[in-house]
This record gives sequence, structure tokens and C-alpha cells, in this order.
Amino acid sequence: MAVKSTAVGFCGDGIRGDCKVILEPSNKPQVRITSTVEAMFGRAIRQQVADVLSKFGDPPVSLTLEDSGALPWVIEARLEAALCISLGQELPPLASKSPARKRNKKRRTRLYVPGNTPKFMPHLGLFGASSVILDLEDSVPEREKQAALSIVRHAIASLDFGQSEICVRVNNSEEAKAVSRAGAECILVPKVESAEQIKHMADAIQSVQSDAVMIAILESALGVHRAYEIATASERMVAISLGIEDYLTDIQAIRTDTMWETMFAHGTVVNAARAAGISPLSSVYSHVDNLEGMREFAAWSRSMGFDGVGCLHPSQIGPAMAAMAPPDDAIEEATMIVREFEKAQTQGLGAISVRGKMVDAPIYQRAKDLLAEVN
Amino acid sequence: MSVNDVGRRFPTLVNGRSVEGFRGIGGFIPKGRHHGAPIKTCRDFSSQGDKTVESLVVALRNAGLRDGMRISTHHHFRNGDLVAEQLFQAAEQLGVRDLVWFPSAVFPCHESLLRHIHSGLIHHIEGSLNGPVGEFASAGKMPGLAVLRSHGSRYRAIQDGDALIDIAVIAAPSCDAFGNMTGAQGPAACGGLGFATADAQFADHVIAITDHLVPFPCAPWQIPGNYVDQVVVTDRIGDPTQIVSGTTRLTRSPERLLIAKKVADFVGKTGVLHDGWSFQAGAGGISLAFAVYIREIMRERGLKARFIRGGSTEVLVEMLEEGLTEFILDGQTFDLEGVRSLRENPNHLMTSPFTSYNYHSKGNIASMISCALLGATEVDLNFNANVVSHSDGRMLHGIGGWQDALFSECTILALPAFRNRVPVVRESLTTFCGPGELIDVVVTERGTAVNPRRQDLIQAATEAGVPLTTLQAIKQEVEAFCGGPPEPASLTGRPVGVVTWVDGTIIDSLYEIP
Repeated sequence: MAVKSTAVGFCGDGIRGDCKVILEPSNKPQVRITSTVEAMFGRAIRQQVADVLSKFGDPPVSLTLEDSGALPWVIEARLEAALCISLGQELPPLASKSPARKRNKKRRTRLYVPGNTPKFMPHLGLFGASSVILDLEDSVPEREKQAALSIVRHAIASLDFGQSEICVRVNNSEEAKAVSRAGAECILVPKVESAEQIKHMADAIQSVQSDAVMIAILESALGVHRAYEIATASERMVAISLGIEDYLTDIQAIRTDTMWETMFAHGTVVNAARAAGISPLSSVYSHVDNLEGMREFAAWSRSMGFDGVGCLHPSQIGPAMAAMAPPDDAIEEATMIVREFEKAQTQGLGAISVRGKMVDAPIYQRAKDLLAEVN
Repeated sequence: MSVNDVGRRFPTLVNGRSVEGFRGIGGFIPKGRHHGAPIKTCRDFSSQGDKTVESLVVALRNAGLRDGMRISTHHHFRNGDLVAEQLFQAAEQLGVRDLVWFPSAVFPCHESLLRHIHSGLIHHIEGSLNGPVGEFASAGKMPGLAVLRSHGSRYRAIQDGDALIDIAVIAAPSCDAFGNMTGAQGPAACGGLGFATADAQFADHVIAITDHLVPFPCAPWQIPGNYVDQVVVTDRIGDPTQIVSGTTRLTRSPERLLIAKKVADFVGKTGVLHDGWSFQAGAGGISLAFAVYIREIMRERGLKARFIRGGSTEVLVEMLEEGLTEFILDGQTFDLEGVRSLRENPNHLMTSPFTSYNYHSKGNIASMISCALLGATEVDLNFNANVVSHSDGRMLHGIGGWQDALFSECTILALPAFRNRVPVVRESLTTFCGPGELIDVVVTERGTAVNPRRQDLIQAATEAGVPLTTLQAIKQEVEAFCGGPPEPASLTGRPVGVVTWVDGTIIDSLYEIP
């Protein structure tokens, strides 16, 4: 068996909640462990390392673990990734702890987090995002892809994400399979330009018997041009979104504050999604310190017809949610419409007048949708 | 070793002085009179008011420095202090030994002074220890015991005569030849000099050291020159970049922002916040974010504070200038805006540990504050808390004003539920620093727990729809993903320090950690 030297993960100054695993081929296997929490968890860490090594058949490696306070699932993920890379193996199967949940709520806010940064992950369920997106794509350098996949799988299988939908942005169908099996509820497919890409990805998810749904991100002129085909390519498709920076580069536009250069793509995505009966999602707002800007962007996105926006920092969620929430008077009116219409139905009436405006079935439905969202 | 009323062991003799164990809040009744400094007369001093001498060496010689004396300094320069280093260099030249250094706090910049312990110049440091100096003491390398006292308790110890100061060396950012001094002016301006007031009044001998000598009078003075024996002028007393930060930036840590928001929400909805209220918040990440959030709520609801107790920062200064508070009562000044405001605004007042925190005095402002927001390293299921040690038993923080501020009407500990895998809610504290009777609320990113003693707050929170949890529930949730409770620290080594309660009794001990 050929054993490769490898190093996975991070430790040292400025690193919290992570660890680094270094493996070297060795005929005399040995284990060296240092930890910032040695006094409190040293014994538990040594036991965990021994257990994982035994699961891999105690391979001929010398293992160094430098721990900066990693949680047990992070240590597990780092050890597994290092051993798999070193021994040239696939990541071992990891089963989900619970079946994917069905979601009815709109994806108002989706919070992105880099896939190879475990310290952020235990808190992700606390911020009230509609979805959290563990990212394996742009935020992860090429050489860390496998380590990140290991972290993301274990995060999904170990952590409580609260009411937030668990999404993963993947690079390929192999990753989609691995994270779907671990319990991902939604797969984000980046750089989509054709219906075939979506069908291929849907087949991969199907092959591991997952119920995960899909969101396509359109990031090129061709992708936007084919928005409707993509939106209707699979039953699993629930939304399409726009990767605006890549798109603008592709169409050779110049970024301005007016956002005029983005109008066609934004409008196309909304129209294609609505025509396909799925949800249009606006892009992320990247100025994380400008919360007023976030609020304006979310309000603008909502007025365009988008159901939600992307967030890069949890502090963006509150302003975004507030900007997209229906105003109080709309809620009050919807409450009255639903009450009056349901009363009229029991009396056999199909259309009534509320505050001097005619209310029929579609208006009743819209009022009900609005209330479903705020309750 | 003896055992006190909260079941903690303590040495009955601390650096040669016999001590008593903690007897519960208010359990210890002091007797006797305050300590008095020796009587001196003006005939011993220049009638022209010139007390300057040419160097610290000369000043120390004039002061009669000899082996075993206790010398105090202060931490108003925080990590930019250059005085302690100069002081002990001067003492070294006089060939003395076994001095006791009695600082109001130590900082990482004081690591260089450890060489004087190795050489025998300093016998031990009697104060709150942290950083490299704390590591040193926890490793058992310091002779004598570290004595950890809160700011209020340090004042009390000096005034009661528990801690006799032979020579106090007070760093003065601006000073005249008579010894009148202020921290609000000069190149090393740091704000208030409150921490030095006890030393000025009660030490046998007082030396002011300054890099900014101004003609008499240095006005308005914070400490009058009538307490001062000698004035030394030196090149530099502090590094301004380390004394105050230019701006105090809001934390970006999502969970800290979330904790601060939960605190503001709790305070805003349970009636703790009301018109004319007061609060204390420091310069830590959560405290600063809390100030920002509560300011927003106060603006929206048109509520004003009567006073805010600092640690003053830019945010508090903005609140003062905007009219959201009528006063800042400032214990120490954390940034340049705080220094400016203290200098310019008559409603920004300097306080000392006597006027803000002293338990052995005729009333205590600490208990008049509507709400105090504090941190902790550990909390047990009865709301008792630790603020001085790591969970492995090593010294981590000084007590600062923490114990003193526990007396507020609503004391809130705001803390992350775990740090680097180590859960904060513990079955048993590594070091017992503050009784749960005084701790009303614990807020973590995973929920808010109210002390069952505060049924009024529980009812108010329930009526306002503020979700509550219990410390037990937080403990369980966090232990589930941290891999169980941490192994308890091994507290079997010899004692290396004691933690005093505000009344001078010993509440717990710190032990040598191998």
C-alpha cells in the first residue's frame, strides 16, 4: 500500500475550533498530539484518534494532531480526510441522522459559509436564516476541496441547524452524492448553462435515495439565456439564482451603482422562475458592514419579484428579513380578507367586498400566502 | 488550609498576614479604624512648592527604600505602561531585595519584570495576575502568594490596612512641581487616575512621575499635590498607542453580536431599561455591541439614562453628547474620545474605586446601577461564577471591577456557551469568584437563563415573550457537541494565590498547575 504524506486542517495563532492533522509514511506507527484543551479533553482526544486509526486498520503512518480546540466532529472530519488522502481511499460512507425535511417557507435569506472553516458552523442555526449554505465552491481553494467535503459532511450529520434549511454548494455530482447521503436538504449547482447539467445532478442525488431539492445558479450569458429550460429541467428544481459578478464579466458590462447593467438578467431570472412555478432568488450583497445597503438591496430585490437574497454575514439577515417582510397594513388587510372570505364561503358566496374592494379566490389565496409567510 | 462557607479551601496565612474565609455576602463585620498615613507638615517641603528631584533613583533613596518594602503602581496606561520598568531598574541600582510589587493590575507588557523575581529584587507580586505573569505564577515560579482583589477590594485593603504601601509611584500624564496631577492632559493622556487615589492618600510616601511637567497649577487636578512627597520628570511614562485605542471597533463575531442583541432585547423588554435608568458596560466585544444596540432601543423609545458607568468608550461619549445619558461616571477611559470627553465635558466625571466600588464605605454606587453587563469564564448551575482562571486552573484574568459590579440591581453575565470546545456552564467552578446570589441573568448565544431568585424578572420576561432557558439545558446542549463535560482541573498542587471577596475575606485559592 502506497502511503502519501499529507497535512489537513489548520491550527495555531488566530485559529479557533479547528485542528491540523499531519500524516507521514512510517514503519513504526506513532501518534503525537498537542492540544490547547489538553487538561480538559486530552484523554478524549487520544481515544478518538486511536478509534479512527483502528477504523482504518491501523495503517503504517506517523500521525501528528495539533489541536486548537476543535469539536469532536471536526477532529473526526480532519482525521478521516487526512487518512483518505494519504491512503488514496474514498471518504467512508456517512449516514444522515434524520431524513430531509419538506419546506414550504420562502427562502428569504440564505447564509453562505466557507466549507473549510468549521469554527463558524456550530452557530449557523442560531441566526434565523431561511437556509444555510455550506460552500464547497468558490470559497474553498482547489487544494482544500477534499478536506472541505469531509468537514461539510460531518457538519451536516452532527450539528443542529435549527429552522434553517441545510444547503450545500457543490463543485460536481460526486460531492452532491456525498453530502446528500449525509443529510443535505438542498444542493446548489453553480455555473449552470444547460438542462443536461441539472438532469445529471438530479440523477446523482437520486442514486443515493435522497429527497434533496436543487437550486441552479446562473452565472453566464448562456445560462441566463436558457433560464427557463434550466428551471424546468427537473422535478427537484425549487429555485434559480444569479451569480451576478461572473455574469457581468461574461457579458462584458461595466459595474455601476445604478445596477442598470444587471436589469436584464435579474428580470429574466424572475420571469423564468415564475413561468416554471419555482422561486427566483436574488444574489448576495457583498458589503457586509453596510447594513443599510443590505436593507435597500433586499427591498429592491423583493420589488423586482425575487423571493430572497443571499447573505455573507449573519448580521445581514435581520435587515434583509425586515426589508422583505410585508408591511403591517398589508398584514392587517390580508387578515381581514381571509376572515371575511372564509365566513362568506360558509354562506356559499364566491366573491365578496372587503373595504370596498372585490375579493375573489385568487385574492384570497394571495392573502393566505402572505399570512403563511409571516406566521 | 481551612475551608470557607462556600466549601473552598484557603491558606489561613497569606504572605505572613492571617486571613479569614468568606462568610457569605455581608457575613463579615469589620472592626477598628482605617489605616492612616504618617503625619507630615509643610515645613518639610519647599515653600515655593517645588518637589522635583532629578531622578527616580534619587527619589527612591530619599523615600528610604529598603529591603522588603511594598511599592505600588497603577494600570491607567494598561499595556503601554513604561513606569514599572523604570521603577524597578532604579530600585536595582539601589541594591535592595525582596520588594513586594503591589500594582492595581498587570498587563502583558510587564513580562520583562519577571527577571527581577528571578534575581530576588522583587519577592512577589501582590495583585491580580494574568497573561505571561499569570502563567509564571501558576507554574509555581513566584515566591509568595498572588492576592487577587477587585478594584474596590484593593481600595478597601489599602484603607483598612490589609495592604500597607511603603512607596506609591503614580504615573502622571500631566503634573506640576507641587504634585497636582491629571490624566486628562499631556502626551500620554489616559483619562482618569482613579486607581491611584487610595495609594495617594494612604501610602507612607508618594512619588509622582511625569513626562509632562506644567507650571503650577496643573488644573483641574485629579489628585492634589498635597498627598505627594516628590515629583520626578522622565522622558516617557507611557506608550500612547497602547494606552488607548484610536477607535473602538464593533466586533464582527456573529455569536458575540447575537449575545449582545439578546441582552439588549432582554433589558429592553423586562423593564430593566426605563427612563432615568443607569448601566455599566465595558470595552469588551459584547459590551460594546450591547451599548450600540441599547442606544438604538433608547433612541426609538425616547428613553434616557441618568448616568452610565464606564469604562468610557466612543459609543458612551456619543450617547452623552446626544443627550441619551446625562452623565458618564468613568472608572477608566478606553479610547481617545473618552479622554477628550473627560477633559472637556463637565458631565463626564472621573470616579475612583472609592467613589464607585468600595464595600467598606458609607454606601456603594455599585448597588445603585440598574444593570451591569459582565463576562465570566465559567458559571455553575447555581449562577456562581469564575472570572479569574482558565478551566485548567491557570490564572487568566484579574478580577477588575467584576466582583464590585455584581451588586447592581440586575447583573447580567453575557458569554459564549463554549470557548474552544470548553463549555462555560460547569457542574463545579474551577475557581469561585462571585456568589450566584448576586448574578441575576446569564445570556449565551444559545439562550437566556434567569436566576430562580429573580421571579420578578422571570415573570417580566415571560409576559414580554422573551424566550428563557435554564443553565442545565445550556449545559446539556453544549456538552453534547463538545464531547461531554471537561475533565475537572487538577487542584492538588500547592496554593499560588488567593481570591479575595470585596470585604477582604478569602473566597477561593489558585493552585500550582504542573
